[in-house]
Amino acid sequence: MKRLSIIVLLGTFAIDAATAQPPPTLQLLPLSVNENIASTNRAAKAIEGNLKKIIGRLDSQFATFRTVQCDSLTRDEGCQQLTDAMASTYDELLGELEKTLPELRQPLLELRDELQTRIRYELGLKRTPRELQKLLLTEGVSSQALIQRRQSNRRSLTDGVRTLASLLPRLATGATGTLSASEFYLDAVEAVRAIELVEGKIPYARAQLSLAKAWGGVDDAVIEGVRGFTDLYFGGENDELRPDRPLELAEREIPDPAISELTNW
Amino acid sequence: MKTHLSTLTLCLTLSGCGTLKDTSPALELTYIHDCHPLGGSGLQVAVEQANHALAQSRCRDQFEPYWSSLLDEGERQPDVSNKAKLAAFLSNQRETGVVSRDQARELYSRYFDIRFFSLPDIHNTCSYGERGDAISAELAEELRQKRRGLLKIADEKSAYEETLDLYGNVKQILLATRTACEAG
Repeated sequence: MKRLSIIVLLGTFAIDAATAQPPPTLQLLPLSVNENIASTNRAAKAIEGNLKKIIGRLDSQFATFRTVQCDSLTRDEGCQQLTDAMASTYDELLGELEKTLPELRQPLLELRDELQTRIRYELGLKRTPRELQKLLLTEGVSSQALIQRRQSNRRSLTDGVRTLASLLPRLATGATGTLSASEFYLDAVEAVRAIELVEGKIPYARAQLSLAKAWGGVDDAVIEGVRGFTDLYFGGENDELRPDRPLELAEREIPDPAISELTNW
Repeated sequence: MKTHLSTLTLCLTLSGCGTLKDTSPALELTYIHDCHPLGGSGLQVAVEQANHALAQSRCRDQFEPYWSSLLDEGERQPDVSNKAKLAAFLSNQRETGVVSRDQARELYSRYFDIRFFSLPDIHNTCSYGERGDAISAELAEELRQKRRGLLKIADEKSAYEETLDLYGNVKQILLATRTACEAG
């Protein structure tokens, strides 16, 4: 889900890039896909806004709960009211997810399937693995840009927006079709899985909440549940895939004839 | 220690080795069969010695140990010019028929070209299916060879970084393609 947020943001930039730049060597991201991403973007933004509001209320309720030194075993009236309020807000969060995730899943499924068909045909059936390498080299993707983008997938939404704002104009200057499409596709695959994961967790979360209401421990159930959902949606820790490297690559030397002969394949 | 170990490994792979008269690291001599010893005098000299030795019929089947020794020798004094010296060696061996053109290309490319030679070029990518794991393993092996060649022998950090990027991008394209092929 956290990657989903990145995807939809990328989609917004991708649309601009598609209209401003000449078409890449291999067009794997046609207009219909961009429209699809835009639709997913709108749905995700709406969901994100609502979820943030609800989670913000939960945070505030939980802070009060802690400040007045309530715990799951405290039975006084004030603590009980706070517990009920938290349970109710958490229930609202689950309801919001239940209501809106299907809206998000549909365009993502279409995006995934569209890219899947194109990648399978253009890359999988028409080209050998070595030809894929050649395609990448022909398209001359900025490696630094892609490194940053991969890292941005591991960041929170806020970090991702900041990185992408500076990254995407550079990505858009090159013919980045193949690699971008493969990233979009893998992100879409993962996002669909994440949505299914969240949807699958909702009944369990509701059951846990009911038990907690009856037997105590609402605060723990809420904390655990909210942490799980927010990690998935807003991103966890930044997991660096590789160390930083200099942006500029040294110029390649002109090879001698023996080298040219050996590298002519 | 590393030198001793590689020498021992080398001897085990051969039908016979010269006696290791002196195994002190200072000399770093590698005796190959009863052919000419290599090492200690720099890559250019080692290449000439290897060319000379492989031109003799009794040493002609010792190409691989010589190549391995030359890589060791290059590693001792990393420099970008080592690429040209080793390329010249391979070209010479191709001309004299010790190795084929394809073998020479593969050996050079695996160590010194930023592109990945091990990527198959026969069937379409979908057709590899589960053999994709084997392709990944071979790519990783070639990356290790490039690390040795580009970084440790040719001292070309930027070229190695370039190949590292290509490695990541190729792996991603292969993963996306394989995922799409399997889903379709």
